[in-house]
Amino acid sequence: MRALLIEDDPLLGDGIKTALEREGYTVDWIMLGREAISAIGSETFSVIILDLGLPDMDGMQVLQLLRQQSTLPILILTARDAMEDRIGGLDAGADDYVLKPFNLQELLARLRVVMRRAEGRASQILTLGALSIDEALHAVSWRGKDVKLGRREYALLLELARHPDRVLSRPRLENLLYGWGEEVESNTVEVHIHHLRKKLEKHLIINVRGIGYRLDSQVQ
Amino acid sequence: MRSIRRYLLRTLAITMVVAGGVAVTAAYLITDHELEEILDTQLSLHSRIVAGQLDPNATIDDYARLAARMGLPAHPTQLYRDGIAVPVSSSESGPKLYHEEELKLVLGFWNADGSPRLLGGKWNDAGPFPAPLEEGFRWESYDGHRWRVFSMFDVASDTWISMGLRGSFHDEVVERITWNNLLPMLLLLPLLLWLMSRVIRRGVAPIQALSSQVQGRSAHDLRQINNPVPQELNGLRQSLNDFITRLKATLERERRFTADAAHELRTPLAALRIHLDNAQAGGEQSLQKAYVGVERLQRVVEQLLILARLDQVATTSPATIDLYPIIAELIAELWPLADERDQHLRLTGLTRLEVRADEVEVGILFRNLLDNALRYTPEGGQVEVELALWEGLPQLTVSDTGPGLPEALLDKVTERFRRASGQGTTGSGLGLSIVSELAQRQNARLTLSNRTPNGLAVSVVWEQNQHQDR
Repeated sequence: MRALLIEDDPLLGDGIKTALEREGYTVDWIMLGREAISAIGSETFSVIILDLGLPDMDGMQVLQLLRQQSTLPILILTARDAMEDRIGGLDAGADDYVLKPFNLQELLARLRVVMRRAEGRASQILTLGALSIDEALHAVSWRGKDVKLGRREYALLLELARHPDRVLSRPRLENLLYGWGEEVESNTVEVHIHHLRKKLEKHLIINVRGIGYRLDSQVQ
Repeated sequence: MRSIRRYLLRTLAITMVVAGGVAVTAAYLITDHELEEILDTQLSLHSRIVAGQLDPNATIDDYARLAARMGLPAHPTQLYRDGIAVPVSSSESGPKLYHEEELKLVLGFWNADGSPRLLGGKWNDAGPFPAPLEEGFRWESYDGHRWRVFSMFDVASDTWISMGLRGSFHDEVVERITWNNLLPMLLLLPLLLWLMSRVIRRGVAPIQALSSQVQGRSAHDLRQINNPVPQELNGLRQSLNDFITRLKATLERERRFTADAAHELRTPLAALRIHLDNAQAGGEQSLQKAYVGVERLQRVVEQLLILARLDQVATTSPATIDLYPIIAELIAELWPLADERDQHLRLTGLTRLEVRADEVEVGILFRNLLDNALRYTPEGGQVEVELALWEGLPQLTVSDTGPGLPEALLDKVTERFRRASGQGTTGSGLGLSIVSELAQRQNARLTLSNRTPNGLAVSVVWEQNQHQDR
């Protein structure tokens, strides 16, 4: 899961980034509203977290610009608790808002909800044949048995399971694992896919040569 | 003036009554004078006619006949011989038809020696009427009444002729004319007063309408007053609308300030909380970062409190103080902060610089300036504080070797919560707004400029009206 964090406050941004990474997100953190517009043009994100109190642009304006270009779930962080500010945010295209200061668990839950809603699911448990993933608990079970996965393995599996039977390109999967400026190790994706196949079922994840991988929802 | 309406009504009413009084009095005096002239003319004219008719050879019998003809009932005309009254036979008594007023007009004849010859009815009531001593008009008191008398001497018949009119006749006519002037005025006065009060009421109605429009408003109703008003009230309406606009701007600024304050308080609080969460989840550096959050929160709260206090407290009367010891003391206080980050902190320039200012306010101002400079200057950088006289004005300059400010922000950065973006340091965005507020209160000018190659210079120049002569 790759998240775009737009937060001008260094201390808060650092805290959110740390917390999200611990939860298995890959976080790209930018501080200016105008950078956000170019960021969503060049990268694929699962969710956008936007602080409305930005120094260079009005947060509402950033929100509207983002909405014009993308249908990605957007969660806004706001310090303004006036009803009209919150309603204004939702009307401008935000999927949900979190009022500062927030509880970390609440932030994570709301992130899961907006992403799930964007995929058209109502439950936090994603089930595909014999595979089931509890997003809240990060628990994966295969044929009724719990499977322990590493952080990156989990992120890859979740991304594939969210788009069953669709081929996800290798760069996209790499993006998922690495934020900006991180050195991408050339075979990381292969290594983690290999581990996933071993822990689950060899034919569950299919290698589409030269392009990427897809998850076969028919495998039991 | 308690009430314009009452003032106008009262003043106009008094004016009207006084004017009416003056008019009636003038009419009385003029009538009095003119009537006297008319009546005098009549007296002299009639006397001459009588003189012309007088037969120089008239005997006593002729006079007796004349007396009988002139006599009025109850007031017979008296004939005299050698100063003694002679009874007149009333066989040829006077006219049956006469006017009551005729009693007030009397004719009399005297011999050249002043003894009475023939006197009209009323002039015998208290002895013979006083004899004329010279020709012309005179006033004579007789029997408790005033008489206007014209006298002439007819040489041909050797006779004094006097004709008199009782003063009350004249007075009554004047009185009647005066009353006839006064009465319509007295009748018209209430009507005029009523009309006037209506006109005044209508005239001041727009004032009342305007005031009731402002009066009935709730504190949150800051709409402009758009009711049409007469020309004279346009200025007032304009002033009210300007005031409303200013009030609106102030309230809007306050509202924005509250929103910004919420942001500035809640953001570090959110950061603090998430770092504590992270620390609990085992993040090693998170606790350290949580402390940074607490420090920042503390700073924001302190600065907000300073601002709140500045907003409330009226300016204390400044005294002449020497900046040097205050600045030196504060630099010494902040020295460890600079030292910790390997920054070079210097104080240069004058060692005595007098300004008229409040010592505490200068302290807060300078501390914020220095704090900003140290905060935004990288490790190993330089911060220089200079005391100088610039064109004769005391000037305090704090220069640093930090990143400076974008040109566009230089004059905006004193707004509350305005922070240069993308800075690693966590200022509250309140420091410079406090400085600017304090500078204003001390009548000092705050100037920000970028230095080459990099860094920011902030100068405070105390303006001349420092009243150093006082």
